[in-house]
Amino acid sequence: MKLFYACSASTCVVLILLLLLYPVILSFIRSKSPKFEIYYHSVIALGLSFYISMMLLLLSLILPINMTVTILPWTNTDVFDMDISLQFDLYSVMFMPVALYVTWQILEFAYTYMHADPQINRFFKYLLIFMTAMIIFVTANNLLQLFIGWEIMGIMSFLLIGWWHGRADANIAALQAMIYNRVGDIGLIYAMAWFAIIHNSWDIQHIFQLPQNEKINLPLIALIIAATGKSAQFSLHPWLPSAMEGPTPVSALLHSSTMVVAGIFLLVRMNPLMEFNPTILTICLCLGALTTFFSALCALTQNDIKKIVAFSTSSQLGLMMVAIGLNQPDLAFLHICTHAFFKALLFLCSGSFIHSLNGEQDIRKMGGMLYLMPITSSCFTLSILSLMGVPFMTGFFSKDTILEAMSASYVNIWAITLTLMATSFTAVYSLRLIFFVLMGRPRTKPVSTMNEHDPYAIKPLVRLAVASIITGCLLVHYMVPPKMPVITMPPILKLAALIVSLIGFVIALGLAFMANKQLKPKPPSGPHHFSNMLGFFPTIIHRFIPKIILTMAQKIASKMIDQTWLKKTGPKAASNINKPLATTTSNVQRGMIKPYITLFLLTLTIAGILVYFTIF
Amino acid sequence: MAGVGFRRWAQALSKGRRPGVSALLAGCRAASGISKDTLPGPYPRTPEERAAAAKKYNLRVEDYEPYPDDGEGCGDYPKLPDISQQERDPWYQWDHPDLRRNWGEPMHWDFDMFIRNRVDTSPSPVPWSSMCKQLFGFIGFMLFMFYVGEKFKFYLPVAPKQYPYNNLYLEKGGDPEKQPEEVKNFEI
Amino acid sequence: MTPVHFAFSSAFMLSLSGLAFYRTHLLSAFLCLEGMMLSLFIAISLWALQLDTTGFLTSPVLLLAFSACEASAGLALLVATARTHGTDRLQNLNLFQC
Repeated sequence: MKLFYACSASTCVVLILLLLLYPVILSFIRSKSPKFEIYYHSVIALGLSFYISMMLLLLSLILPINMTVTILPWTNTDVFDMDISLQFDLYSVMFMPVALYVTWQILEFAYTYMHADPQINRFFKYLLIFMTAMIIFVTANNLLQLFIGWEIMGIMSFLLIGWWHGRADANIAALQAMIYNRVGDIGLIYAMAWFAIIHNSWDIQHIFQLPQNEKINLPLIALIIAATGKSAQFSLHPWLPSAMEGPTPVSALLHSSTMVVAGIFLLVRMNPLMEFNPTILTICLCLGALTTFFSALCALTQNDIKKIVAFSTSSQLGLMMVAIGLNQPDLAFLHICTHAFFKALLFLCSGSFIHSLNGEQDIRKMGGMLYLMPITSSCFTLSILSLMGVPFMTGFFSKDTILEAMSASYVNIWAITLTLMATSFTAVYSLRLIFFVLMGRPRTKPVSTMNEHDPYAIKPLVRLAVASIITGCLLVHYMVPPKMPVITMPPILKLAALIVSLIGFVIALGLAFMANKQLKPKPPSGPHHFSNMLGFFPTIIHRFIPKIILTMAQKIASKMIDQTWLKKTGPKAASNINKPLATTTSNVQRGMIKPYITLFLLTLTIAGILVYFTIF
Repeated sequence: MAGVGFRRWAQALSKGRRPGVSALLAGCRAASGISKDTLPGPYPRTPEERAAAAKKYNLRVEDYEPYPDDGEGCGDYPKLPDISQQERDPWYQWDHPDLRRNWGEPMHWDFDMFIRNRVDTSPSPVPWSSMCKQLFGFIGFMLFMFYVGEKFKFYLPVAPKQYPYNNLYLEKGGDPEKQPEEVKNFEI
Repeated sequence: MTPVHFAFSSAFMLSLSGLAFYRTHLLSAFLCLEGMMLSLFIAISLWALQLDTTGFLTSPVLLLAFSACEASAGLALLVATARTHGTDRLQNLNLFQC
């Protein structure tokens, strides 16, 4: 039975990978033909892969086995063996259908969004390669395999953010993403090196056998850094809002639902290592709390619809990190899955708005979309409700559970405060989105070109909206958490998340209705600047660090060492040392024959005399 | 005189038909630094010298300000303000729109530090010192509060504390004569 | 040391010192060189005679031939200097200039 499961599971994964890559390969063969449209192939491939992954999920429902399948040996040295092996546990089996479903919808949506792009085939190719990498990453049972998936995702993220590379902003954003992700990669590489040296294995199951002592803090911190880079936690977060320079489907797929959760997923995977390590857990908790609060704070005053959604993504990632810090990786994973649905939907809806407003992203210039695009608006509202954790929407099941688990644990009081504040901020910026985008009167340009006739633009939204309503319930019923969740708690704690959300909502509503009354027109205050300029973090860091480095490079490396010291001790020193000697020698050489002969005679005489006296 | 001979030999060699040798010699020449013609001139002391230097660098005399003559070898090179290319007017018709530069414009001494994708010095709505104070104040406050939160952890009991001996009846100064009511914390 | 030996070695030394110390005329320098060559010629002939090695008897003749060449080259130089400078008096005989 186990053999059957192993065979079918690995066949499924290989099939999925082949299916995802087949449009890419096909595009190489048929790239000459002008009629070739990769789009149809990609959507079919993704749909099929989704159903195959569902088969795998059903199979694991029947046979709930955690299994590692070694397909074939990769390298075989005397001391270090590596196999291509796949891991089929709760996480990989469940994440695959979620990611494939979301990707499927996003690809379908991308066709309408990108149809005017001359390079649309390449765009789909990138998305497919990205998805392949994601599958490799999720199923990897080997740190190198994991790393390969991780890096391909990074590269695809770079290429897709810089999709409109004619714009300087897009280029800068792509570079930012690249550089911040490299910082994270250093962490992952460090951890891999550590495991290879100390433990002599990259097999994740082997690594879990490691003794839990103080020494392991080092690679764990490196892993946290990796997650910080990839999942845009505080201090390595500025690339995520900048990444919104890419096309909206990219933001929806990579920078909200799938790629950015890879860091959290890594920590979920590695959780058995940090399970009994309070230091590491505390670091995760504080980092997550700070991230979720800070991002929510920044989201409050943004005016770009995609920026707001990006910050909410960052905030939710922080919440997942908090769950990791609470030693509840299953809750973090659950939030990854549910978050994928409603955040992808939120992005697609914003993309739909932006598309029909001819690329207008400023929420102050939207408004009244409720009447103009009713279906999209409904989906938008649904996703926002889910994001806020309104009971029995998808987001509720994971978000509320995390907050409950948090408030019932013996943890850092400030972390709890920050997380609850971030939750209420979520309600505030969600309401702000709805208020500015959907409600009121249109503040758009007078000529309205928007319509909802294209089924390719609407169908994905509706499908994702359905998923945003029901999947939470389904997932919760499917997942049997290995770690005991908290069951008993006083009502105030049970309702804490809802209460803070409601408080935030009510305050925001009051503020929103006050906003167009113009009670006391005032210039923006200090805290507003702080929030609106992303806490000054990008400004300061992006100017300060390059300035220090470049000044040091200029003054110390170039001016002092290269131009002064190396010149002085190298060529100048050689010439200075050799010059007096050469001058003296050449001054002697005047080419005078007569004195030379005289000198020669003199020497000869002296030599003769000496010889004479020596011999006789 | 020997030097003259060597130089003639070297020139003869470099003028020969072997491009490799001449290229090598030319490369050697270039590696030793910029040539004498491209080095900045001596530090201008009189107003006339300043005017001449300003003209040489395509600057007005009012704008011309050499580096201080402190022996760093900057000579008469103009000290331009530390302003990045990014800060310049994006709508002006620059000769190089992507570099935001005109032909014949003097370069900053640390020019490569201030090109558009490196250090940005464009003004921000909030002054730099205030920004630094707010950001580092925020981070510091957060770290401090996390430290405090680590000292005083959050714990909300779901039931009152339970003690043996009838909830420490005697120890809390209860009347030993009177039989206290039975406290049962659990049932078996 | 036989008188003959003394004669040619002193002749050699004298002409060498003459070459070294007497710097006025190029002609006298050449004469001194000729003297040295002659004394060498005598020395080599004596050597061949005294050791009875007939095989070496050709070497003085060869030397004489070379000295004739040398003398002709010297005379040519003399004529050249006389043509360019108008005199054979040289202040300092320099390799780099005439």
